[in-house]
Amino acid sequence: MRQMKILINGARGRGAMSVQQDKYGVSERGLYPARGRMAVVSDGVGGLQAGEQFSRLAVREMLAAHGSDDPDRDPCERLADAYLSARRKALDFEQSSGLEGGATVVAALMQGDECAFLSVGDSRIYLLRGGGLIQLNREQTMGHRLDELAALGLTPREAAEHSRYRNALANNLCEERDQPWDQCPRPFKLRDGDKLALMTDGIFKALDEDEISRAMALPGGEGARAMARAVKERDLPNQDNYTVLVVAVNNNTRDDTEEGDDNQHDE
Amino acid sequence: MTINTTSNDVSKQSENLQVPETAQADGASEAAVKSAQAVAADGEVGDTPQQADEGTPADEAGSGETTTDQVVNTTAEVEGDAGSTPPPPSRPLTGFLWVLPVLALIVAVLVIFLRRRRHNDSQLSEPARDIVPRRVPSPRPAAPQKANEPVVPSTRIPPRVVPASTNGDSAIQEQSSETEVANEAEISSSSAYCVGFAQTQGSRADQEDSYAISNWRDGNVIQRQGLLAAVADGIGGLDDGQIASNTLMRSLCEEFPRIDPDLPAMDRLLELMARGQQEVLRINRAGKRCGTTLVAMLIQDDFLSTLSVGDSRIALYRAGTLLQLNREHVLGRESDEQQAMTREGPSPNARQRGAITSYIGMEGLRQIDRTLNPIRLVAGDRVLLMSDGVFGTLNDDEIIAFLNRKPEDAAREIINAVEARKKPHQDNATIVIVGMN
Repeated sequence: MRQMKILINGARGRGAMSVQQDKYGVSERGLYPARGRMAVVSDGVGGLQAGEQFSRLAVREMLAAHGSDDPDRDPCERLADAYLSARRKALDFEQSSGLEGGATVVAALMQGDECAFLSVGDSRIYLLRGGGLIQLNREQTMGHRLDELAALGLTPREAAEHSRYRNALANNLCEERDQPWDQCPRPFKLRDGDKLALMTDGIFKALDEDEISRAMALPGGEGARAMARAVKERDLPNQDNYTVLVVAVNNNTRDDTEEGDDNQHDE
Repeated sequence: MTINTTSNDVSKQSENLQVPETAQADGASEAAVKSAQAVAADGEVGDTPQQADEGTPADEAGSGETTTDQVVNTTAEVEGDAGSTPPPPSRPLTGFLWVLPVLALIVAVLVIFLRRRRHNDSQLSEPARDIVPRRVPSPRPAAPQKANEPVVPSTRIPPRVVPASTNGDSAIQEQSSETEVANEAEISSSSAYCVGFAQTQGSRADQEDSYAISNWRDGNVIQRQGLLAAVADGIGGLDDGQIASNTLMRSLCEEFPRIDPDLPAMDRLLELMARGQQEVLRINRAGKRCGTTLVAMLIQDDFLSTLSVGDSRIALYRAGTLLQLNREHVLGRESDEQQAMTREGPSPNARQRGAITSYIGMEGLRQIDRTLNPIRLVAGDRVLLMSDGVFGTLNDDEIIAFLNRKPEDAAREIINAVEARKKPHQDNATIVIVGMN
């Protein structure tokens, strides 16, 4: 399997919130290429302290699982197991701490020339390929579900359209009942020039897809910073925390992997 | 709107039906119904035989359809039937005989007027019931496709798509400021899309796959209503998968022009799926037990929306790579998730893993997969709708090898490659490719 050269950069901001509840992380450079590279973004849900702790836990535990699992397994299975490991730890923490909260998770695992992704909640993963942007994951919100049920006649259409739960998460890291996560059906091939962006809703609620696409197309590690700058300049009232990781597949770099200044597990 | 619902099942070809020689002349929708069974569901016989004079059969750009011979044979029969009229009685001229030619002229004018009005009303994709069902000859076993034999319909209308960027187009645009009204129809009538479709019965006794495509040639139509394509794979483990897939495709064809085109594309897809679900449920509640998968796409303003139920596949070919867009509803995947979560329960065996967990016709259908955010298409993109007979035989690289060709060629070559594999128990295989120029 061909090894791709991966460049990962991240950026985030607090927006108008008093606390930063978004976290992002990337697996250690030394683990590549044997274990591939994992990138994780998480948006904490809950009270001021709770959300931050759960998103931090999600990123930490998923990267820890990546560092210790069987690297020869299917990337989709590795991601799923990493997520479930994080979920179990989060539920234990919730019980022991008494804190109520949760987190969204979007994660990508690049292994060889393939990529797998996983998503829980309403964050997003985009692929920029051939000049066109593709949202890879399915956001798990009640609104989408209600629309489907209404179309099937299983709930009144008007109730679905005006439900106050439309924007509520249909799934998150600490969801009480086991819910299926969203995941690619199988790893997809990466090609030179591909860009992936993992982001919380603070980004895509402030920027439209044209802006996201143009930022992702910027060379080197500029994409993530460009998006964060654009959100900050937008200065929207009630701007949510915003976080983005951009993964660039670029076989023109000299090293196997290069990372920018923002590549940190935590800020 | 083009529907392909092939069938060799004698028991279902119960009606002596007639078909127009042509289904489209000038950008009206195309609806080539190839299955007597699908037509029987229509229930209309001998409607507007005058349509036989309008043009050529609608299965023109779709290569690889195995029932083309039936179309040709049937056309010849219909021509004789549609053309004959009883000779006028010979009587000596009387004072009132001058009335007869006048009446005939009035009737002819009325017929022409009514035909044109109906075409205008359903310009985008004519409901299947407006297409006269065709008489199907006695069924014969489907000839197995020879390896490397191109599956090309023997009646073929060259596509009317005008290339997007030619000197001619530039000239038209330069003139548009002076003769804007005259050229506007010409400019907007060219379509940015090309379509290919092909299928094979494989080793199965019946063809239980169906597909449907709306008018992709007329840019005006696409601009107004979008471009709809769908593939349905009747579930063999249940009864009458063919009825289910035919019924679903027919429902899509009939309902597509009725749904408000100003609604978001995904809302329209959901509505089409829901109406199709009701139609198949109606059959099941009458005593049948049938179901079908569905993969559907709707392109509006160059944005792609997709919807999927079951285990057929939707993929996007871009920049030399294939990306699967949908999540398949199969037991294996769901069992893996369940086991991972609960660490409980036995693992399904290999055969069970492929069992479909959601399908059209299922009571209490709840699992639908769809793109939540339309995907902007770029030049060179190809969107593939496939039943599992295709990707169960060819891997991604083998499919990709054909995709740099025109969609009609690619679809045909992919089905040829499926046939050439000579896989024992080869399933029905259907592919629709929509390409953006």
